[in-house]
Amino acid sequence: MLSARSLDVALAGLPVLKAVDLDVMPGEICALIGPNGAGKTTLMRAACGLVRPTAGTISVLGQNPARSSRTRARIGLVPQEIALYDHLSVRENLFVLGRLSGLSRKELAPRVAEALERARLTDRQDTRVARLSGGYQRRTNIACALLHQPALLVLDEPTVAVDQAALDGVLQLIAGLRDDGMAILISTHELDRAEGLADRVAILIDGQVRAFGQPHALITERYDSSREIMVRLGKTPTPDVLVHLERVGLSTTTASATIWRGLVDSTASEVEAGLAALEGDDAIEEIRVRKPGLDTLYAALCEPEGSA
Amino acid sequence: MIGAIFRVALLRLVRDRGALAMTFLLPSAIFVIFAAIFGGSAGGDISVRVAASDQVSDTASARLIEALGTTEGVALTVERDIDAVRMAVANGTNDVGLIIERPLADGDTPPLRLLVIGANELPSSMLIGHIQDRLAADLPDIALRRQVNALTPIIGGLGPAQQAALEQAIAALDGQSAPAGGLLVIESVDQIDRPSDATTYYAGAIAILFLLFSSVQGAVAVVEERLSGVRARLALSSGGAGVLIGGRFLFLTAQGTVQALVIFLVAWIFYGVEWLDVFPAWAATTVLAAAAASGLALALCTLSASREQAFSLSNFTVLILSAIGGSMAPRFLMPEWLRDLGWITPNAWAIDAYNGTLGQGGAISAMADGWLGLAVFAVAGLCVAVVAEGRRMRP
Repeated sequence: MLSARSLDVALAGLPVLKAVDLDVMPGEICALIGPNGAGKTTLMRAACGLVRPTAGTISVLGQNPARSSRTRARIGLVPQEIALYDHLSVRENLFVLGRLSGLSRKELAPRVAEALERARLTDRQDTRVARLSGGYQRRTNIACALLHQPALLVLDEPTVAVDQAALDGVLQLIAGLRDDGMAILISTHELDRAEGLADRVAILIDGQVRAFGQPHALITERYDSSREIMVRLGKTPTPDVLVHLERVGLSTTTASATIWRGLVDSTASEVEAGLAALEGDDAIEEIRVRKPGLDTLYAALCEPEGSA
Repeated sequence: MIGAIFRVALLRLVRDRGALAMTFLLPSAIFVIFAAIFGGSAGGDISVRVAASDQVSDTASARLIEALGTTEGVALTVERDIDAVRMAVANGTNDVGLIIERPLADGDTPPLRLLVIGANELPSSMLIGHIQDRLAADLPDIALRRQVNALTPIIGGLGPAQQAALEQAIAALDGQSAPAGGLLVIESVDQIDRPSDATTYYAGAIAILFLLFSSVQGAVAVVEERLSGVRARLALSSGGAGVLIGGRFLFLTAQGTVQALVIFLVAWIFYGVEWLDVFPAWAATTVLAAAAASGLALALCTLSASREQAFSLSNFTVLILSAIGGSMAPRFLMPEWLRDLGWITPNAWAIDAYNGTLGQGGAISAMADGWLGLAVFAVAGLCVAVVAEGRRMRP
């Protein structure tokens, strides 16, 4: 569906994307994660044909979207902003943006009804967008991109500034579209949500894809036997406690030295012995052990080279 | 704390070029333009353009023509016949027409006729003053002869017995018109049954001013669509910039037409400006004026990068164009160079077209130039807007 090979994009002479390789298949959600300025929006704009590559290729349905208006018409874009006419109702927005997508009045009526139903907006269809809550606005923003039944849906941070309850609704909508066979490229800062929702993730840092694959596979590949450990101290530790903390491989960055963290090999005998010793000490208030997640991988990749 | 707020406000002003221009440059520019209009400064004179025809061709009339030709503040063109003078005034080439119809020394009937456009009262008053001044300074013998000729039918000479009659005649003239009142008559070149005054001028002048302002308000939506992401969404559709700008252009033109309709309805109700009997010509002028304002506003807004820039650039441009183009002060008050400069504005063409529509009975020939000027602004503005927006949408 979407394929980028050795993609370079420069804006105003500055390189933004460097040798990006990426694939998104039908019925798949690919989550694009990365810090601000990493090039996520530029990559999405390139996928929509709104930015021309300076080198390499990017194709949608086998065609360069920057050169084929027919291909662009098969893409649905959900911008990061609420790209709607806020003085119009939900239904009016759907009709106006549907007409501008090239749909006839006859085609539009059932498509609008379907989009309202799918985004669960039927009961809000006559409400002006300006009066909707953030979650409803986000769902309307997505619904407007579905009218022309795109093969590829590109969502630029669709969950930004949405509360937890509304977030569930937005993510359910996106998952439903994937289940119907749509290829979806989504950028997000919600790492835990991306891990649960995405079939594949691409971690984009400084214009380069540093990791690309299934979230579980990426984590297992790097952290198979590793565990993240956090120890919280309730009072000043004895010298013995400090020895055990360092033996486990933990360190502290807080001035009061009350919280100690570390990513350790759980199979190492020193770790097991050290934790056992710490568990019985009355200076220890809490010990947490968890399997590394996407956030662990992301944080590690974001660290400047040589600092780890 | 007050100092911190002051600093924030100062930095906001200093870093916003549009606001800087609006705050400091625009007032200065408006002052220079108004000073040029009302003070005859900046290298120009407030001169009245006169087309004259001497139908008497005697020594006295030739001396008057010669004296006016050398008078500062009078730009004189001598025409052979009355029709040429009438046309020169009607088409705006000259402000006033002067026809010497009878010998200047005639005391019983006015020897001079002035032809003026209805709304153009000031230039005729200026010319009357110049003629009186010339008669007093350069042609005193003619002035004296006029007085004697005027008195002779009354007193039959200046013998002792007539002196009393002269005093009686002078007493009878007390409170009547000044000498120039018997010197000339003023004729409007407009149709006799058509009210035509300064209100006609200002109806058109104000209409185009507010067409421009309202078009700018509407055209800013183009920038807002760009910033809100709507345009990025629409960039994937097949319509492109042509659809976006074309739809907005049609709406603004329709909105402007209705707005002008309201202005002219008020002018009709309160000031008797007649336009309903020349409705087709008025409608054509109004649609073209609204289209010109829409095209210009869309061009300005599509060239702007932000909402603030669009408002600043548009307001600055509209105010300058309106000052130069005659929406704030009548163009016939302006020096020649400023009048010529005015033709780069849609205001001047709109005022010209409305004057042709309302002042000259809606004759096509009187409006053709104005219509063409407005159409050029409309098409050029629309093309600039489509190209500018297309460039922003193009990958």
